[in-house]
Amino acid sequence: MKHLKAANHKAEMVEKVQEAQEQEDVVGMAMPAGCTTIFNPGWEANMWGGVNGMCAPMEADLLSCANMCWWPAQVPDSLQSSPEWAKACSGMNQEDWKNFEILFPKTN
Amino acid sequence: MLLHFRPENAHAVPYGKQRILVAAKSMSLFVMDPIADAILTYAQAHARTTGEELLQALCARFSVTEIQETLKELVRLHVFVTEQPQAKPIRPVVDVERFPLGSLVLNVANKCNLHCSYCYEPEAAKYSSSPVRMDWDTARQSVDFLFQRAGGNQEVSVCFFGGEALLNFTLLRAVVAYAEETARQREKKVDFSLTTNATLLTDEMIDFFQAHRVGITVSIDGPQDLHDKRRFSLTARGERKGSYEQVISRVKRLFDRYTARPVVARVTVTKGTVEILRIYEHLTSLGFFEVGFSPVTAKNGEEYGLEPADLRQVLAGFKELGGVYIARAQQNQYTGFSNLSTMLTDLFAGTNKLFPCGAGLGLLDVDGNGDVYLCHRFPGTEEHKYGNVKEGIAYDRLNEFINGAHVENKPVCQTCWIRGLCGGGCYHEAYTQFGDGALPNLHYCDFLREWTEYGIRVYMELQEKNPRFVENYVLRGRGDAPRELT
Repeated sequence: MKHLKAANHKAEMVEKVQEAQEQEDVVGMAMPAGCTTIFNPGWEANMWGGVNGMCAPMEADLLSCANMCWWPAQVPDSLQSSPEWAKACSGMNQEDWKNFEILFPKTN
Repeated sequence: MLLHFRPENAHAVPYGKQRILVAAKSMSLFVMDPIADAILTYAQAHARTTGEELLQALCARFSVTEIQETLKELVRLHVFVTEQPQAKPIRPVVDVERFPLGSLVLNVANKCNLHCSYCYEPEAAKYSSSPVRMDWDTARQSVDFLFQRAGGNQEVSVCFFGGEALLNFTLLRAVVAYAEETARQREKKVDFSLTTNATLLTDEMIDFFQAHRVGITVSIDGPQDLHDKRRFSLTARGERKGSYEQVISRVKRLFDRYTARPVVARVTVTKGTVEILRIYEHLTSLGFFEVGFSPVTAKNGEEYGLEPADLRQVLAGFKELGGVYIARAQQNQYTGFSNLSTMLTDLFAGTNKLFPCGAGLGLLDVDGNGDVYLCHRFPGTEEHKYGNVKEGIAYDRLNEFINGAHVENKPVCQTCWIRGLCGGGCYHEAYTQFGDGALPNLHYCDFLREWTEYGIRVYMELQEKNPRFVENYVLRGRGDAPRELT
């Protein structure tokens, strides 16, 4: 601090914390996509205060939530390792999630 | 931008040409530059100020940038806030059942061989026909209780208390052996301490304490005329007689044979025994390493109680001894004035407590019946009995009391700048004075604020004249300093 000189151990700790907080260590994504551009936490209500047309829970909207760098869904790699895992699931019908393949880690 | 000044979070202590800011929310200390000082002065005189008004008032003396920079720093310390402060709901802050126990005080004997006039232990407990003595079963279960509840603590403490603890030396010896063995098995360390009137010390006891490094605190009030004013033994005819001579002969023997740890003198300061410097000099000349002064706990009207005029004398005496402390510190000599050393430790660290002490949290007391109390001052007080080591602890009630008693729950304390240091005041003092252990020690608030201000000036002077003294001589080995600092 420039105008206050730390005179005890606690004051030094307060200064250290402040310095750490002033350093930016999180930088926003340059090319955000999809829902990640919107920072409303929760999306609890739409802009008319209603709850229809809302973002479905990740589990019910798995494929959309797994696309385009959207964060919540961890899904198997459908490019290289497990291209078949979602074959039986339309992705449009929110009821047929049970058709996803269950994958187990490979053991040697 | 509307700024709300939080006066309870800023207190200025003059020191030389500058003022020290006590940022009370964190108990951090800062030396203020002229801009910070001017801002604080202005805010203290103008309860509600906007950022613009403040700038207007000060822009003739300082640049706008500097003022804004300083304001930002003060906002970080919660001296100003930018949002309307809201009433805080009273929230529980701790689950006592999950708080690890560090110390257990054992009242091994309620009886006492002395008859000090100011003792807080009830007469009936000390002198009844069947005084309570702790039996082995209760003691063993208490030690087990301590280790079971120690959680992650690598070290635990067993304190022997009474009445006069030495009246049950046999049990004390057995407890030490059992606790040491338990500690070995659990790969923890155990530390022992004892408070005693010293009159019953024998060579055998002294040698035992030496061998097991039992820390010793002797209750002694000063030179003979002061000590014998209120610390009596009874003659065979039942007449009161000062106990000084008895105590001295045993204390001299103690210092002949015992070198394990520094011996502490606990002085109870009462009406007419407020000559602090004289008491200190006498006791240290006998061999005591450290002297702790405790103003007597008294209900209003007790003849030995300290009235405001007496407390002012006590404070003056503390400051006189403080002068000696500073002078000796410049020669790298430590002065065993507990009250000041504890204050300096807390000021250096920036101790910021929600509670006045560890009673009910890290410390509990067990009396001869196995009943568990907040601390060693409460045996006999039903209200602050929280179960029994054999039957279990009443955690619900204890949680309710402790969470109700933390300093944020004391409305009077919210405007006080030393609330983080005082923690709201001793439960027993409050119980004795006001009948409610959760009330602040209103009778000591002014005293403590003045004492803390004085302590800050001493601290700053020591930092100026002998910068490493506090860290090297005062902090090291003090159980109450944060671990990383010792």
